[in-house]
Amino acid sequence: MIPFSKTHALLVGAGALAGVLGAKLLKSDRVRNLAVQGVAAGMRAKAGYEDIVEQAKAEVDDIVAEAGYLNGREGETASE
Amino acid sequence: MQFTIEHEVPGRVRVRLAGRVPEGDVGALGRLLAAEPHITQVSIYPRAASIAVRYTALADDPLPVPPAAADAAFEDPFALVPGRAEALAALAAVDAASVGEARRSHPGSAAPRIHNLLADVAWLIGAHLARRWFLPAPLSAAYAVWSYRGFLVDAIRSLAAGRLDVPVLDASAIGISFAKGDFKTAAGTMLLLGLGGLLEDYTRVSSQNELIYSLLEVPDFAQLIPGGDPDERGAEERRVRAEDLVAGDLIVVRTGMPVPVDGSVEHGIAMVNQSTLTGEPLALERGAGDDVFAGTAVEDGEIYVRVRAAAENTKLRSIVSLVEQSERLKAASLARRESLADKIVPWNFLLAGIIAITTRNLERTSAALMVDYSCALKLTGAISVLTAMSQSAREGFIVKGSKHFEAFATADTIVFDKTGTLTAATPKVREILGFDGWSTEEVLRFSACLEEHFPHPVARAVVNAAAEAGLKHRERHAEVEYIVAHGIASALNGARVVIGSEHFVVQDEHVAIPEDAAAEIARTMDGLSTLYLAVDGELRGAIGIEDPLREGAVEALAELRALGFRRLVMLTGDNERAAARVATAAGITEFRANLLPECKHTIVEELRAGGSRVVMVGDGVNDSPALSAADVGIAMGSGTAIAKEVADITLSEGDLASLVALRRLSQGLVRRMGSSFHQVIAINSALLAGGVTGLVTPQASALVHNGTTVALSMRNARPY
Repeated sequence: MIPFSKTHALLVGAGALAGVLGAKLLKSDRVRNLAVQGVAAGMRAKAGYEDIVEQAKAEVDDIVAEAGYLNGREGETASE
Repeated sequence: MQFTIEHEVPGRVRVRLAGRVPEGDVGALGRLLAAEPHITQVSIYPRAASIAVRYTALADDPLPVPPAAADAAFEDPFALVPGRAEALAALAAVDAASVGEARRSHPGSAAPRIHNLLADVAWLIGAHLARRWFLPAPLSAAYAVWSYRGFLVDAIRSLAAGRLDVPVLDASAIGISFAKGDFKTAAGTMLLLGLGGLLEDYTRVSSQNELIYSLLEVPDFAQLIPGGDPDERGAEERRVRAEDLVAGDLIVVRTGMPVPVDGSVEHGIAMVNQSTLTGEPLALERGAGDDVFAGTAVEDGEIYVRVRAAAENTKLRSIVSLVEQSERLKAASLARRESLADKIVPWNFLLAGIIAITTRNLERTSAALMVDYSCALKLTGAISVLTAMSQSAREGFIVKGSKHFEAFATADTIVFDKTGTLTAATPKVREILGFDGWSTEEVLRFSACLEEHFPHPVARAVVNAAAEAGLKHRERHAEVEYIVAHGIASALNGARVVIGSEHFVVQDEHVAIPEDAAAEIARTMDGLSTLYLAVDGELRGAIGIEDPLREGAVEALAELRALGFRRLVMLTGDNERAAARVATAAGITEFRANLLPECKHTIVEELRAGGSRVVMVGDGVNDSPALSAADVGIAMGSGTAIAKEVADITLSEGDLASLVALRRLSQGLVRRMGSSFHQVIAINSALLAGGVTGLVTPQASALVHNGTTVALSMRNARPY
């Protein structure tokens, strides 16, 4: 007879069961809702990140403007 | 609009709004604020609900009023900055109605907004870092393999076509990193290649948009017939702006004029040049019942067009198709360098193969493949061209394709047309003579009556002179016929009326000029361009038109000589004396007068055949053959639509100093592309050598390669 390993057979059986149950689970409403929530959270995170980037850009522009102004003023006092 | 001041420095204020700015409103809001004369620069941060405004004081501002003494405890340190109050008032005055109006009034508002480069780059880098720091190793490895599929597909496509080029090199470099199990380096390489592709796309879209927006600013005019009857001959006409036309209006389009709006022809026949829409360079005949489209131009003939669609949308469409065509004119040298990078790839593989066989060391083999010349070449080249094109829009010239920069940089001969190019576009009437019992007023009135139909600068001078003298004329003549570069013919009460150059009136129309009249003309009109008016074969009057040289022309021409133009030539259809006067004033020694349009074309061809690289600068219908024959054709912004269509570059400001700026910019671009090419090759070859001999690890080499690429690109983005 072909050597028959109980562990392997159990594993195959468990795998098949997991496959069937898993397919059913993935089609269920609860999982679908979770997926939608997940994507929504991801989109919120992306939007939040972009907001931060834009705010940072605005503040960097402020710093550059102030620095430019200071340089301009120093140039003026130097030339006086 | 409600706002609070978030940051302030004298000359710049950033305010926070109550809510975010919707994407569609950003452009309109920017234009609305920029319309206020005190405001010099507007930056909008839509997601941060913030607007930053730079302002300045104008000469005739009232002095700022210091706040009342009662408020002394709450002093505003910026209250007395000049211009600030007006800037803040402009911000406060913005409301939904004015933004809506600004959005509708600009035809470009229908176009989608350009990608925000910073946001895209930030997203690419941020996502990469997030995956690297937060995602567990197996998942980020899996993501790296998943995002490899795009590169793999491109490589397989190239291999299937039998080519060993850059996509194959990229894919194998990343593949070798996977083979070593080094997913981090693979992901890093893919990030940098993705960044390169993003910058290249942005370059292309941005330069297209620059071109489109600067072309949208060029105003278009139309000859409106208020009467609205296409069959009435000699009806009154009025010159209006194309934006003011509505559906149902009747306009007439004649030789050399652009068709400003979509419409259908109700009367007449013309040869219409539709190359801006279809790319077809030959003109097509259009008659009653045919449709004509905005952006095309009438080469010859006259058509009465019933307007079908208002100017707004059709202008944008015609400009977009013009820009799409210019896409095909990618810089020749840029393409040459990219193909050079493609040629190096097989040698890269050969080197890698040799190293693999001799050392059997995966590290060193991957080093031979990791160095990517083409990414650096493409990036640095694309950025140089982008900077050049956006700078050219700001400096007053519009270039239709990047290859014209190179042609202009290496040109050594420049040919100018006289009227409207070297001379100002607004000549003036100086002398009027009447013969055979006609008074000067009658001569002027009659000439204006005929000349008002044509867009030639000389015609405008006559019309303006008549308007200044207060002379009104009823349209009593029949159809007007424009004979290119020569003059105008019409009929009045059965008699044939002609007005034009001496050549036209004497030789073509066989009008005899009596001796004493000729002497009087020679005496009074010395050095002036002369128009002869003849009715029924007899000379009735002569008008002398003064054509002053453009301001700054002399300096501009001297500068052009200094920048390497060896020959400056002037060609004109005008008489010898007037040409000599202008040429000596401008400092040009070579000139030819009394030329027909075909002669100008022939002369340009002769110059090119003699080995010169020729630039032609012109403005009129009679310059178009010469403009297309030259290596680079440049049209004055104030010129006719045909000239602008045929030319490769348009001087939007109509200032000859732009030619000097253009020459400097073109030479700078050529120099910059050459030097960055050499630097890219040198640095990357050194890295290759280092990696192959084992002096530099692949990770370090990739880092240095990417770092130097970014540094060179940023350096290439400096203004010229």
